[in-house]
Amino acid sequence: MISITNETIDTNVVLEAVQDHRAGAVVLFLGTTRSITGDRKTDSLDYECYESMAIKKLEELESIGRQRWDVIGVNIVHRLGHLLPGEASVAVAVSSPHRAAAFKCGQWLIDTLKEDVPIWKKENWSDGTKDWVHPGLED
Amino acid sequence: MTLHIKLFAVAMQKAGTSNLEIECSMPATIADIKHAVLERCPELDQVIPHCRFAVDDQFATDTTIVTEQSSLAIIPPVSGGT
Repeated sequence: MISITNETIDTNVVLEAVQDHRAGAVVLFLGTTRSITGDRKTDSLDYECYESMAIKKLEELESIGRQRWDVIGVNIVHRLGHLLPGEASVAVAVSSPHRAAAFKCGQWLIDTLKEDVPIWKKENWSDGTKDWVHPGLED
Repeated sequence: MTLHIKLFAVAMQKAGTSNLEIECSMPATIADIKHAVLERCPELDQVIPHCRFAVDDQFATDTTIVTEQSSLAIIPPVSGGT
């Protein structure tokens, strides 16, 4: 299952969705907002998305992950809106009969999400400036 | 005909709108659309080469054909996740 939310990510709820008596492993990845990037300090971040496409791409990721690895539960939750440093912006939980599949599938899901799911963040720096973050695109 | 293109993040910031209107004769490819976008909005010239285009919520290539019903968007490099 996948979702996009404006609410705080509750890791217990994320995990409950993938727990299953057939599973011998549950892997949870949390992406959390950093307060320091290089020598700059972040006050807050704003996330926005192209919702219809982001939902389709997340559903595709789950589907491909399920084809490639022997997994039982997949749950991807992405947060939007205004976040403070230390909050979770994304959670990926995967359960599987044996741990290797959950680790591999989880890593592939977050790596691919960061390439292909149209969600963007804006850094609100402590010096008052703001920048959209676009890897490979420098101002 | 008039087409509407959704803009996000830095593309929206530079163009000053989240919904760019362009004129383009049909049938058109994404390459034609790019050309029309840059004519309409030269502020995007540094951004567009780094962006992908989406047609009906799927990534498109320069040769993808656009129809009057297509839902179009410019997708700057994504930075979701962490």
